[in-house]
Amino acid sequence: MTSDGLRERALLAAIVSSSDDAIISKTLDGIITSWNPAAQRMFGYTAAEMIGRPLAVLVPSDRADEEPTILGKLRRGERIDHFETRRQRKDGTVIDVSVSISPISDAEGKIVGASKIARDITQHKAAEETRSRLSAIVDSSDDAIIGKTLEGVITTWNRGAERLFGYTPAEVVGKSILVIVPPDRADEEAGILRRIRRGERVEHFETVRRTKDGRDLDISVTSSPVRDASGTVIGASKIARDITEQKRAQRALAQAKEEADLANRELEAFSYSVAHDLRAPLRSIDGFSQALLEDYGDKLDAEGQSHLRRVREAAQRMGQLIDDLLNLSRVTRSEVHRESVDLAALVRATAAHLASEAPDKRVELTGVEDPVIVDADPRLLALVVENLVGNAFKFTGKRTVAHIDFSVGTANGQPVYSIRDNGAGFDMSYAAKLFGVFQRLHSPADFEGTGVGLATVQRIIHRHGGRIWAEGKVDGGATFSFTIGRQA
Amino acid sequence: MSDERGILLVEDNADDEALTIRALKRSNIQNPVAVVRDGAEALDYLFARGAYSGRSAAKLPSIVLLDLNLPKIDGLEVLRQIRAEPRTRLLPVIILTSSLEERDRLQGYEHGCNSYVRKPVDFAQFAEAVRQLGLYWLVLNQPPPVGP
Repeated sequence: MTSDGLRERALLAAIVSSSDDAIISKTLDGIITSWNPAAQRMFGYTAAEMIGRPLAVLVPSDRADEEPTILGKLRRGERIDHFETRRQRKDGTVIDVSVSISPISDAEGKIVGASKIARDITQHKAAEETRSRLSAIVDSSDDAIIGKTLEGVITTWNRGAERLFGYTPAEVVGKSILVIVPPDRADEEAGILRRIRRGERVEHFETVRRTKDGRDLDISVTSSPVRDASGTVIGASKIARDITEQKRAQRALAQAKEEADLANRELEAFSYSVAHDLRAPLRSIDGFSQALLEDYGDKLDAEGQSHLRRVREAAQRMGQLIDDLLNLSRVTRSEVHRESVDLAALVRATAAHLASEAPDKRVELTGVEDPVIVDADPRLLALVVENLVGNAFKFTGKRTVAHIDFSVGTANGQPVYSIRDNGAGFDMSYAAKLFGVFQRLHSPADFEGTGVGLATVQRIIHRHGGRIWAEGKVDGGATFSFTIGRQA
Repeated sequence: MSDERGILLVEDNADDEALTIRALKRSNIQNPVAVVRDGAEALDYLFARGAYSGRSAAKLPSIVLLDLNLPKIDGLEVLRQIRAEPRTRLLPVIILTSSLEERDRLQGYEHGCNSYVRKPVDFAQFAEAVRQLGLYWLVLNQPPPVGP
């Protein structure tokens, strides 16, 4: 060998050994004849381990048929360029590689072997996969996702953007973002770009954008700076969501609220006049009937006096009805202001008050010794207790000793408060009627009442988000149970 | 002067007027009762003007029984003007009304009423309320000293 030839060989050997790519040579039977340091780094085997062994050692079993095909091509003198495949390392891990293989001929031009250059593209593959996954997400998003430069030139345009605004990517990429901005809002875009340049995010900015066919959409925009590897802001990503429907719903809601407020004010005015004007004639009926009884009682026989008493009773009952209905409508109108209330103490105090009004009645009240704190509107809750304990008093009227018991249980993980009495009870088949306005299960002759109390109670409980139900049997007492919903 | 210990009843409803006077009589409250039919008349009476310009403005009733829902000038406005006038600002005013509305009670007290009593439908209760009112305000209660 000439000294030039020797130098050239040494140079080639230096290049091969300093290459980052694995450079391997093999015979046409696939037996390894050289193995550079990069091959050792890439596959984990040393040259001593590999030279003389078949290259097939590196091929994962699922790709065993590749090597014969490659060898066949080499024998025909064909090159293989940038063939992407997978190879197995000494430790068993599989890596993605791109290989180029060229036949090696001897001086006579006969193919005697092959050189193989392999590059590890595992990371490159992973990055590509991430990218395609991300782009699939961007593409499948219902939101419009748009990329733009700091000058507002559109760089990317997903399918969501196409669906929302009607332009295809071909129509808008490279154009100014102003194509979707109504003219009177053009300055908005400049403001957003200014903030993006400062590296700021613009979140949930509600505005209006125009579609290709000229419709204006209510949208919510979140825009973030896009940075290059060195952290410099090079553009912006913009995510736009169609909130037209949401806006429409909001407006409808506001309008409905306004109408409800108006109806409420009218109802308030109505109740006011009911309270004031309907009661005045009743006072006259009652008062003058009484005057008649007092001043002319001696001119009326017993039947005449009884008629007048009935007139008075009816007037008084109607007065009570008006009061109860007013209460019911007040409950419906008033806001619920929750605070901590001791329900047991409320039951105790209410019972004590009722007992003081009926000193002859024997009442045993149990279950109210320990505080039971609930989160409810104290005034409304007082109305509930007044009605329920009042009912317990009323319907135990024919008992020698009235038993009233307050207790706390649980249902579906929620506390249930119950008030039980040993009174007249009711037929469970009418239980559903109990809470209706003007529904009564007893004749006024047995127990007086207007049939509004439990309707009021139910309305209060519902306004708290709770439930109320009743259990009982005729002459076997009644139990009213309720939950108090949590703060919304 | 309130030496005649009179009662000014501001009431537009003739029935309520008759019943109130009946209740007062039954309770043996003999004090003279002047009746006016609306807010404007009530103010004319108290300030001795218009149809009442012949009255001595210095002569004030012991108490005013004031309905809220009145023709022309409503009860709250009457009360406001009574409190705004130095000569009548301490005059005991009892609101006697059908309304139990919270707003009315609140505004009644805010405008400076001395008491707020609801007229019950049941005449026996109504009569009892008027009796207690009369006893308390005309007998038990010490009126404010007469100003200089």
